[in-house]
Amino acid sequence: MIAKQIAQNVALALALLGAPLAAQAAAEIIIVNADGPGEGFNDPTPVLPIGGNTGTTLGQQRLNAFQFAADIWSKQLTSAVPIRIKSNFDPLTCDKDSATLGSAGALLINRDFAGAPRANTWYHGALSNKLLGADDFEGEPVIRARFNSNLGQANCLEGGGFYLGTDGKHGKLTDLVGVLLHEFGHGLGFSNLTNGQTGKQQSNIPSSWDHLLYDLTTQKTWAEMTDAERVASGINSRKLIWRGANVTQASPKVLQAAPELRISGMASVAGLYQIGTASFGPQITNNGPTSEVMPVVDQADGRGLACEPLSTSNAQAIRGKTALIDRGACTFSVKVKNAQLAGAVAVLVADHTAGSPPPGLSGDDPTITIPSVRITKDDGDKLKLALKNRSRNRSGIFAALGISATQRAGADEQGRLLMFAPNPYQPGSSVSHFDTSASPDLLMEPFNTESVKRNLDAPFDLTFPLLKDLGW
Amino acid sequence: MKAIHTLTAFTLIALASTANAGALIEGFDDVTTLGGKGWSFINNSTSAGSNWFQGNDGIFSSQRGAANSYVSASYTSTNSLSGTISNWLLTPTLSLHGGETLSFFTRTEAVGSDDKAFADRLEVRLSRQGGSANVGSDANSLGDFSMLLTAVNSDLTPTGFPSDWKMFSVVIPDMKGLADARIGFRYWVTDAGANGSNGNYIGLDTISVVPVPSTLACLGLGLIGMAVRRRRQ
Ligand SMILES: [Zn+2]
Repeated sequence: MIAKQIAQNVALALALLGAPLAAQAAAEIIIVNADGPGEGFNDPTPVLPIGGNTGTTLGQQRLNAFQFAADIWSKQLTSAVPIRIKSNFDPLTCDKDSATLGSAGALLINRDFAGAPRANTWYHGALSNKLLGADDFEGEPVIRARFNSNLGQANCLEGGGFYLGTDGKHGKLTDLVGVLLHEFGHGLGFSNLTNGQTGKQQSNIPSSWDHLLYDLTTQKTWAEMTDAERVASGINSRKLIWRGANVTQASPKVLQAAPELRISGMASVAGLYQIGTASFGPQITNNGPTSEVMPVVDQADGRGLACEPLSTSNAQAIRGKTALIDRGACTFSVKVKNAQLAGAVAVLVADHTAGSPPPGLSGDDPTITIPSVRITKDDGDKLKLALKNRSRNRSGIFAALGISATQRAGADEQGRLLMFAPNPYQPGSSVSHFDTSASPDLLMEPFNTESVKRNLDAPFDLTFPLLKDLGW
Repeated sequence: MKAIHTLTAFTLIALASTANAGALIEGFDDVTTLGGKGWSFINNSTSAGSNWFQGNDGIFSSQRGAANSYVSASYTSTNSLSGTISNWLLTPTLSLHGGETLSFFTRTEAVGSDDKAFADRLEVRLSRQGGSANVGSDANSLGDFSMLLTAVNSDLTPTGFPSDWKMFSVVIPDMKGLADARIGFRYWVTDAGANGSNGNYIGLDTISVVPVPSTLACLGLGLIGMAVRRRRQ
C-alpha cells in the first residue's frame, strides 16, 4: 500500500538555539519562497556585498545564502526527485541572551511506498521520494524551514544578527549558511517523527529514526518501546545512542578521543563522571593531572564559590590538588583563576542546578593554565558528602582528568554516537540531535557552535552517514 | 584483627569467672555497628556537621586491623565557618569498680613543614549516671560527663597532638562499689570550622577497658599485658 500523508501536525520545530553552528552526488533542491511582499526574501533594503555574497538587497542576499547551502546539500545527495523547501523569515522565539535561529522539519512523510526499506515505518518525504524514484507528493514542498527575522535586533541577541556571507568569516555574527545546512538536515531526515515528550508515534507507527535510536539502559530501540519507555529514554542522558552502521563506522575518523573524569580512592564515589569541558584553559590531554580532590569552603552554608582570592586554609587545602568549587555568584573563569593562583592543578565546578549532562564552562581567560570541567549538581553533592570525611589536607578521593583509551568524544565505547537526551527534555532539540559532548563539534548538535561546517560527511562530519543509515 | 578477637575471647572468659568488672574492647572494624552495640554519637558543635565516622585510610591507616578500621572526627564536625566543635562518642554502659585500666590509641594527621598545623584536642570523660547519654545541649556543656579522666593536647597547641599512633592509659577512679558508668570521648576544639585556626582530623583506635590485674592471671600477652605493665611504672 502506498500512503501519502500531509503531516501538518508533525510540526517538528527543531530549534537551533543561538550559539553557533555551521554539505554533495546530485539532487536538485528548490527553495520555495514563502515570504510576503517586502519581507524576508523580498526585503528591498539595500546592502553591500559581503563575503562572497554579491546580492545588493537584504532579500537577495538571504536567497543567495539559501542557494549556497542548498548547493552543498545537492552535491551530497542523490535523488531523481527535486526537493522543495518551503522557506521564509518569521519572528521566532527570542530574548536578550538566546534565540531560536531557525527551525525545520518534514512537511510531508510517507510509508509503505514501493521501495520502502521497512514496512509500516514512516520516512521523511524527501527520502521517500528518493527511494520511490518518483514524486509521491505532486510537486508539493516536502520540507518546511523558517528562520528568525528579528535576530540581532533589540532583545533578540542584539547585535548578533545573521552573517549573510558565504565564506564562513562570520566573526561575532551567526553564520546563516551553517544554520541553513543544519536545518535542511533536519528536514531531509535528521529528526525523529515520534514525540519524545509523550512517547507517541505518528498514528502509532514507528519512524525509520525509531528503529535506529537505541537505549543502553533498557537495551531496546524506540521502535520496540512503549510510550512510557520512550519518555524515560528521551531523558536518559548519554545512554541514548544511534545504532546505524554508517555513523558507527565513520565515527573514529571524525571524533577525537573523549576527555574523561575518573574518581578513585573511595568506593562510594569511584567511577567515571559526566563532564562538561571548559572553553578556557588547556585542553584535557593524555597526561592530564591525577590528584586528590579537596573542596573550597567559603560560605556559611558550606559552599565554596571561590569568587575572591582564597583564604590561607582553603589555599592550603587545594595546593597541588583538584579543587571542588560551587557554581554561582561569579564567572567560571574567575573561580578557576582563583584556584590556580592558590596552587590547584585542576578544578571541578559543581553545578547548582539539577540536570544532566553538565554543560561546558563558558568564558575566556588566556592566563588560565589548569584544566577545569563542570560536573552535575547530583555528582557534586555526592562528592561533597564523601569529602566530609576529610582532614585539612587530605580526602583520600582522587580525580584523574584524561583522555579515554576506548572512547571518542560524543560516542559510546563501541563508537556509536550519543544522541542529545538532556534531563529535563528540551522540546525541539532532544532526541533529534547528536549529543553536545561530540568533539570536534558536529553540524547536527543542538547548539550553534563556533566552528563553521561546510562539510556533511566523514572525515569532517557525521550528518550524511546518519542520513545514509536512514536510506539516503 | 585476628589478634584482637582472640584477646576479646580471653577477656570475656576472664570476666565470666570474676563477674565483677566491666570490660570493653573495640577496634572499629565497622563504625555503623557501634549503635547496635550500645555506643552513642552526639554532636553538640556549633551548627553541627559530621558525627564521628569510619576512619579514612586515605588520610592515615589504622593502628591495628584493616586500613580504615578506626573511628575519626574531623573539623567538618561543625558546618560553621568559625565555631566550636564538641563532638561526642560514648561507650556502651560499663559496670565498673574503679581500678580498671582504660587504654586507647589516637593520632592526628602529619602535616608538612610548609603547612599550617591545625590543633586538635581529645577529652576522655566519665559519667557515673548509669546509661545516661546526657552531655548537655551545647558546645560547652558536659552534662553527666563532668569528670575528666584524661585529655590529649589539653591546651590546644598546634603540634601538641601526636601525629603518629600513640597509646594513652588511665586508671578508672574508685567507684565505691560496682556502678554502671559510661566513658565519653569528646573531640573538643574551639575556633574551628573552615575559617577557624584549629581543628583537623583525629583517629581513635583499639579502645580497651581491662579489669584489675588480679582478675587477669591468664592474660599475659599482647595489648592487655602492656597496659598492666604501664600502670605499674
Ligand atoms: Zn537542530
